[in-house]
Amino acid sequence: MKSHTILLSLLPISSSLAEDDDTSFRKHLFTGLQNIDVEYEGLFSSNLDVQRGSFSYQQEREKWTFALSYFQTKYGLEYEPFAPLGGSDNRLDESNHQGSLSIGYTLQNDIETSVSITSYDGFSDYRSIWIAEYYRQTFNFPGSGYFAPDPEGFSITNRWGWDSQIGTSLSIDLSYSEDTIAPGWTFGSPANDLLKNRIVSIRWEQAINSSLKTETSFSYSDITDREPRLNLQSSWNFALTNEITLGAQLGGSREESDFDSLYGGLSLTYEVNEYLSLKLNGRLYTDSGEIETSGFNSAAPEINTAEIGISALIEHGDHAFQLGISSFINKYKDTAPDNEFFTNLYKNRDWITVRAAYTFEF
Amino acid sequence: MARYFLLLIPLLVPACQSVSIADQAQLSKPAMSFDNSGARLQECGLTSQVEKGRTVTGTSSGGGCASCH
Repeated sequence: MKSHTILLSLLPISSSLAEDDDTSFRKHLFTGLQNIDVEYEGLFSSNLDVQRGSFSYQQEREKWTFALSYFQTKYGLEYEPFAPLGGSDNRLDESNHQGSLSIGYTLQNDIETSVSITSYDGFSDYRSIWIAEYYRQTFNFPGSGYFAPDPEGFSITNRWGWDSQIGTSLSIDLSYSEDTIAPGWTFGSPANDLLKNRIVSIRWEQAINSSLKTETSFSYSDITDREPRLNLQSSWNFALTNEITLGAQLGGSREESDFDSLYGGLSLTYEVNEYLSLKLNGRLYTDSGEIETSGFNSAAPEINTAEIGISALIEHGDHAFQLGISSFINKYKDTAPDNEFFTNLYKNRDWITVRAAYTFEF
Repeated sequence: MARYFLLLIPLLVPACQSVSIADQAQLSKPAMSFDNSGARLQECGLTSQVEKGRTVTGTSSGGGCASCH
C-alpha cells in the first residue's frame, strides 16, 4: 500500500518532467526566424477549373534554412470531343499532390547553397487530362494494349546564391527532374512516357540606384525528345515616388526548330499607407505553337493571351494578407487538320484568376 | 532572334553602378523586390497552364503529356 502511495505521488512529478521535456523539445525544434505561408489560387472558365492550395513552413536558424511545402491542385473539366470525329462528353475530376523539402546553408562571403527535393503524384496541367481522356476513348478497347496513365515525378535542385554587395545578388540553379507522363498513343503502342529534364537557370538582380532595380534571368532546359529550350527575361522596378512603383517585364523563349514565345507586361503599385498597397497590372503573351514530337499531333497551336488584374496587399506586424483577381483571355489559332481532335481543348477562353495568400512571420 | 538581344541591355546598364546602405529601405519594399513569396507574391502561377513559353515563379514542372510538356 505504501509503495503504491509513493508511486502515485511520483506520477505527477514524472508527468510534469515529461511535459517540461516536451515543451523544451518543441522550443528547441521551433526556434529562429520562422514563417508560414498559406496560399490559394484559382483559374476558372466556363468548362474548365483549376484550383491550387498550398502550405509552406520555413525556418532560419543561424546559418541553416529549412523549408517544407505541400501543394494540392484540383482539376474539373467538362470534356467535349470534336463532334464530327466521335467520342462522348465526360466530366473529369483529377487532383495532383506535391511535396517539397529544402535545406540551405550560408557559407563564407555571403554565399548560400541549398538543395531542394520535390515529388508529386497526378496530372500537372488540365491539357494532359483532356488529351489522356481522348486517348482513353479512342484506344481503350480489348487487345489494344492501352493502359491508364499514372503521372508522377520528382525533381532535385541545387542552388548557389551570392549577395556580392548591397543591391547585387546572383544565383545559379542546377536542376534534374524525371516525369512519368500520360504518353501519346497511336494504334498498338504508346509513345515515350518518361521524360528526363536538365535545367540550368541564372538570375542576376541589380539595384542601379535607390529607385531603380533590375532582374535578368536566363534558363537552359534540355528535355527528352526535344531540342534545348532557352528563356531570357528582364524585369525592372522603378520607384516613381515614395508611394508609387512602376514595374516592367519583357521575356522570351526559343526552341528549335520553330517554337518562339514573347511576352511583356507593366504594373503600377500604389502604397496607400503603411498597411495597404494596391497593384494594377497588365501583360501580353504570344507564342508560335508547340512542337510535336510524340508521333501524334496533340500540340497547341499558336496562341495570344492578355491579362489585366488588380490586387491588394495588407501588412500589419508579423502578418501579411494578399487578395488578387484578374481577367485572363486566350485566343488560339485554328487547329491543324492533323490535330482537330483537340479543337474544343484549344478554343478561345475567357478566364478569371483568383489568388489569396497569408504569411505569418514569427 | 535579334529581338532577344534587346533583353541583354539591362546586363550592360548596371555594370558601372553601385548603391549605398542608405538606399536599402526603399529597395527592400515588396513593390521593388523580384523574389517575393507568400502574400507578397502577387502573381497567379496557374496561368502557366496555358502559357508554356513563359517563366512563372512558384510553379511545378513536368507531369504533362508527351506532346505538351
